[in-house]
Amino acid sequence: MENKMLPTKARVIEIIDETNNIKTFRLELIDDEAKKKFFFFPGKFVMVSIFGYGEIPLGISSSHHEKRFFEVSVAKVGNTSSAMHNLKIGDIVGIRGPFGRAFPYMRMKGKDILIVAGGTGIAPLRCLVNALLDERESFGKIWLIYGTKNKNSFCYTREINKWKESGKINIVLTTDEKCEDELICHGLVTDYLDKTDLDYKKTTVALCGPEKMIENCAKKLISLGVNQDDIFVSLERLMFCGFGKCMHCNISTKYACIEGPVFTLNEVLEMKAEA
Amino acid sequence: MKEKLKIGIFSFTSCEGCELTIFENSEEFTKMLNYVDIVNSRLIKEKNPEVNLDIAIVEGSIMSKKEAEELVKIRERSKILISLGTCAGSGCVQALRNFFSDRLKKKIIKEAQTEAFEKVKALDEIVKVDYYARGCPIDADDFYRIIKLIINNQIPRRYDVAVCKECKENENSCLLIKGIPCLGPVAYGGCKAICVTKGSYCAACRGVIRNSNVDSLRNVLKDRCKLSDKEINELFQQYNNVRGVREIKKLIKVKEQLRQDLYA
Amino acid sequence: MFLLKKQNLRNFIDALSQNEAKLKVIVPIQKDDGTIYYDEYEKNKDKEIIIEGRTDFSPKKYFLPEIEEIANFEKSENEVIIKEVLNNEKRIIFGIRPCDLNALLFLDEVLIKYMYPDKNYEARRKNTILIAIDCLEACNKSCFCSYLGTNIAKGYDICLTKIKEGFLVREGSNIGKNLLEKDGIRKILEKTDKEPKQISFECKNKINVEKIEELLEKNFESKVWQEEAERCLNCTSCTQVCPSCYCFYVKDELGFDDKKSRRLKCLDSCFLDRFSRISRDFVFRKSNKAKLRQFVCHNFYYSLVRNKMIKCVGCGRCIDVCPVKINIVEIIKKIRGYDGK
Repeated sequence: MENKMLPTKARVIEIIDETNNIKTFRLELIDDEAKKKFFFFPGKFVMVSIFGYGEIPLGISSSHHEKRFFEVSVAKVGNTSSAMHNLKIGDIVGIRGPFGRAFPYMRMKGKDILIVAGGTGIAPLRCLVNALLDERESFGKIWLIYGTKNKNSFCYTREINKWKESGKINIVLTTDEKCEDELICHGLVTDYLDKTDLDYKKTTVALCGPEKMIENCAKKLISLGVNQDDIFVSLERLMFCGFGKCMHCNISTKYACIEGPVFTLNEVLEMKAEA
Repeated sequence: MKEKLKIGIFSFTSCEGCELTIFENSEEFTKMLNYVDIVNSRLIKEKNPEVNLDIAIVEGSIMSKKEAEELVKIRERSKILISLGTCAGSGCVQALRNFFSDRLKKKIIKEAQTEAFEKVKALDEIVKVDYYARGCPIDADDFYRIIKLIINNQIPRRYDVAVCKECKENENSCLLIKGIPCLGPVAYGGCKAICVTKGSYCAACRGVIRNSNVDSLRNVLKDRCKLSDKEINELFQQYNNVRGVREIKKLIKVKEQLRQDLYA
Repeated sequence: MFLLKKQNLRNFIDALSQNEAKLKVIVPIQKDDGTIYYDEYEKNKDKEIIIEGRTDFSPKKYFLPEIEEIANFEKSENEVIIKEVLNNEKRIIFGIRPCDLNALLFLDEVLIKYMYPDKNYEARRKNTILIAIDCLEACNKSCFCSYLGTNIAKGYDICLTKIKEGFLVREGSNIGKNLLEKDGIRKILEKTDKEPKQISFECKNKINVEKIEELLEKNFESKVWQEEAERCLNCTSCTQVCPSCYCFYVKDELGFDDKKSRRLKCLDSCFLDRFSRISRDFVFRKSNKAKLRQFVCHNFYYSLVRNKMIKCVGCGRCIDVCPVKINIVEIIKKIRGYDGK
């Protein structure tokens, strides 16, 4: 069996500036064999190596229907992500994966879907939105509630406008800070969870964002009557291997790299609070 | 090829052993010279012009007003300042005089030829220090790791792992269990636990880890090693003089932003 | 079954080290300060080989070294060359104790059999021949292997049992069988029909592991954790000496430029902040209580649920090495005492 710790090479074919500290990288696997095997569903993650600077887990943010390339978005935070921001088109990065459990894309078919994103948590959810829109007719109503700190920290703005224009999805954008834009609401995402026209009892929810936001959203959603098994949460943990060896992503008996990063709310509640 | 970085190495009150340690690892040092220009160094340069620097590496503690003024000037003309060794980081042995009686202190100040401070000071009490290379003397590999990261525009992270980890890596038996005083459990590692491996004990020359459990270690020293409070204080004082033992306890509770010693 | 006479022990090891495959023989020896550890026989020919009692350090370093290069990268203008690095050194570990053997079996389960294999560990494991020594009695007051069933040697290639005249030698695998049939070794051994006695001893340090996963799950918020963890120094000694602790992190090491770099796999410890630190310096498991709980629960609860094996092999090293006397057996006992209260 091949060595799963060894990355395969991918070339950067496009770099898109999303905000002043978030960039999206479009990557194409160089090896044809690896390209054939590379298969994922929304919510899975890859380990991206910037040779010499380290390896980071990143959620795939492009639709799984796109076979030629895939995209990852990264905020400039630590050493590895800063090194990644210095990459140019044509540079080579290492890819391992995809790893983890995805959003239950197949099970969502025929249902109403609510997607809630906070800050950079939009990345894996963008993958889901694109995938849903690719097969729009298979799903019920789709709502996206996306909150950030201020107007300038929205990612994928061009794409969001396109989504809006298509009329296939209802979008609510919110900011913590007040802003003049009429199209952007003021407040937290939790304030807008009940402002949709969804039948909450039959809705599947996908959540990703800061831990605090997830906690508050989950409480609100339960009170609205959403089934706990239909709430899916994407969590962030430190990871070094991606296949259950290094123990860093261990949360009680679960590993975020195998059973996660997407957990159902029930699973999250079963996990013991650690602090 | 990228433009070479300009580096200056400066010494204040110290034995200059740390600076020597840099040159001692000749293999890494010569490799480094392909990437940096050493502009200032009292030990290896004849001319030491005052030019703007990319990295200033400063060793030694600050004893007098003259030294302090010089340090401020160095800070002003350099982009990054690295504190080299324990003298620069926390005072080292010469700062034992911070604990002398007032009468003795006055005598020293009177007899000193320059305008001496009443207390020996570490660099970060006067200027902003970006990164710390710790140890008395520093570990060459540790230092070159920091330099390599800086050259590659990376941020060296603080290495807050106790000496014990490396000590067990070298397969030493624990001194504390034998009843020999050792500060390994609360001291910054990165030194390859050289003292314990070679038969001595750890005196925390690299500093006491922020948020470490000093109270618990004091109890161990009392119970297992039969040290009195005074002796424990002296043990802590040996290298961490600037802040003193009473202050060490406070220091480790100080908010993070006060001592942002990012360090790998 | 063979008999190895007492006076022939050294000849046996000499014969092992002189075989044609150029294997390195690793033996347990004592340092000047009294520490018993494993080292190469070649370098320590004058030292006594310690065959009784537990060693202070397990031979874990030959399977999971503190720092191991797993790959290196060479960058040029438009290309990156990725090279896999595997350690193919051949070794014989002589005198490995049953507890450490059982720890290796646990590591095999987690690192090789579970999901995809860890190739670096697998390579080291494949290239090592294990010669075990049976424990006939409890070795000290802190070990508790008999209650976990790890006092019986398993997974060895050759096993030695001490008897009056010397050692009974039996093979446990084909590799071991072939090794015993080699000329230099065969002539030292005598054929015998003696059988080693059934090993049955009880350790002094009693632990009750009945339904332990349920116990720990139920008492996850027990006050025992705080009581015990209060004095923890986060010195990581326990995880360092543990023969079955395998958590690792991966980092890249740069040169002065990024043309050539190495990827290193280093052992980590759950008692460090960095163990659960994610972006923006957020630490999930910050308190001592949570760190200690992670250590104990991984040993007795998580491993049992995930890998159907208790990670802890009862060697008691973590108890002996702790400067503040945190005792994993006492913790379990205390939790049982508080259970349901």
